[in-house]
Amino acid sequence: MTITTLVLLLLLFSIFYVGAVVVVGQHQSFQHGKYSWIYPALIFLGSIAAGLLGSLVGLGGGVLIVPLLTLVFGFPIYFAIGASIISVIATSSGAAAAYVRDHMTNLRVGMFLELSTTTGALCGAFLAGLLAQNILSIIFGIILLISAAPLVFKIGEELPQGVKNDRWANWFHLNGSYPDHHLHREVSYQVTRTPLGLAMMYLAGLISGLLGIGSGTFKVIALDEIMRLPLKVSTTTSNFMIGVTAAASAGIYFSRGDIPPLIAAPVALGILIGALIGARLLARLSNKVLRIIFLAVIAVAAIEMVLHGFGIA
Amino acid sequence: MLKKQEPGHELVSLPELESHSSLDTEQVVQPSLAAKKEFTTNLIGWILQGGVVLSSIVILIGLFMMSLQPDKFAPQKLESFPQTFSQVWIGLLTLRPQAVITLGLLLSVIGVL
Repeated sequence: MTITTLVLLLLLFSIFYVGAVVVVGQHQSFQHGKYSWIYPALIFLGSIAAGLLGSLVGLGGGVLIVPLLTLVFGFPIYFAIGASIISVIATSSGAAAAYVRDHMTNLRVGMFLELSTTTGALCGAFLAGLLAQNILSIIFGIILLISAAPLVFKIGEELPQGVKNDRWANWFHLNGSYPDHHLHREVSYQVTRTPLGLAMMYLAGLISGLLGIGSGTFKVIALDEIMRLPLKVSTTTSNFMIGVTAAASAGIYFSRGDIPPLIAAPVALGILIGALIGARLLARLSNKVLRIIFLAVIAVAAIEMVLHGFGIA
Repeated sequence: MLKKQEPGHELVSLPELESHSSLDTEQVVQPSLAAKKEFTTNLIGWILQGGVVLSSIVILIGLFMMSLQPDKFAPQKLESFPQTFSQVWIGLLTLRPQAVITLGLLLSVIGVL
């Protein structure tokens, strides 16, 4: 309860205070750009695909929206980031609702780690306004590549073995259990290396605020690789967390004028539909196939973003 | 008679517990805690889903209002939108589509909170 209250205070501080003091209208005009009825229609369709792919591996879809809006539709990256922040929140809320009710999500772990992530998101959102567009593109591409690497080594593992609660996990009762329909039993699990997980979550929050993504990859890495939660709990808990983290920086982006309704609305609706379809498909596909698909998508998007940052794409 | 609260139900009698006089308080309290956790989990799930549905409806209403405007796809529209809470409020009072869409987007943020 105390942790939840602290997270809520951080979020309210971000949205209603930090967002209000940020200077409005600091970006150059986009009036030379193009926009017609076909744009929101294509953005909507593209967002369905992004939401579908993103939700399949528990990342929310925002990670694909920024390349889509900048590289395909030619919007400034700050518009793409603002729209993606909203899409991450919508996707997280929609998918997390089902996961929470199915008892797949560890809410206690999620809210505990949100303390660290929300703080990082606030710092990242401040830094984002100080960096140039091409630098953000390069950073975003490199982060995508780094995020994709651990997925290669996680294709075969079903459940982590030999994990014991550390002191923090015992104090905060972070261990839990979830119903595994694939294994046909209730799986109990414990949590380890909590301080390192907290540090990783701060980094995840920083990246989220900086680049407008949920940084679900970093959250999954922290939960799965460092704290050794089962993969299904890691992805569903990450899915719950990305929305809360994105909400922390949404106020700042809103006040800065980075969330244009005509771009954010079709993105949010499309991502949501894609995520709902993806959540239904998830049970029928193997983890191996899903990871291979997503690794390919991430690799292409990352390379494109780096090239775009260097002015080559 | 010992009683136990089951998830989503009223208090129900558990006659079988009466025969086990050796049951300590912790064992009886455990189902109650589980029921409370179940209720909280379901509540959070429904709040999250409700927020998404509500914000989606408001966004759709805003897009519909936008489609009725003659110059709806002018590039200038991309940049002329409310950027503060007061601007959103004024826009809502004057039924501006961009303000309605922005309200829907903000509702999605509030849903997370």
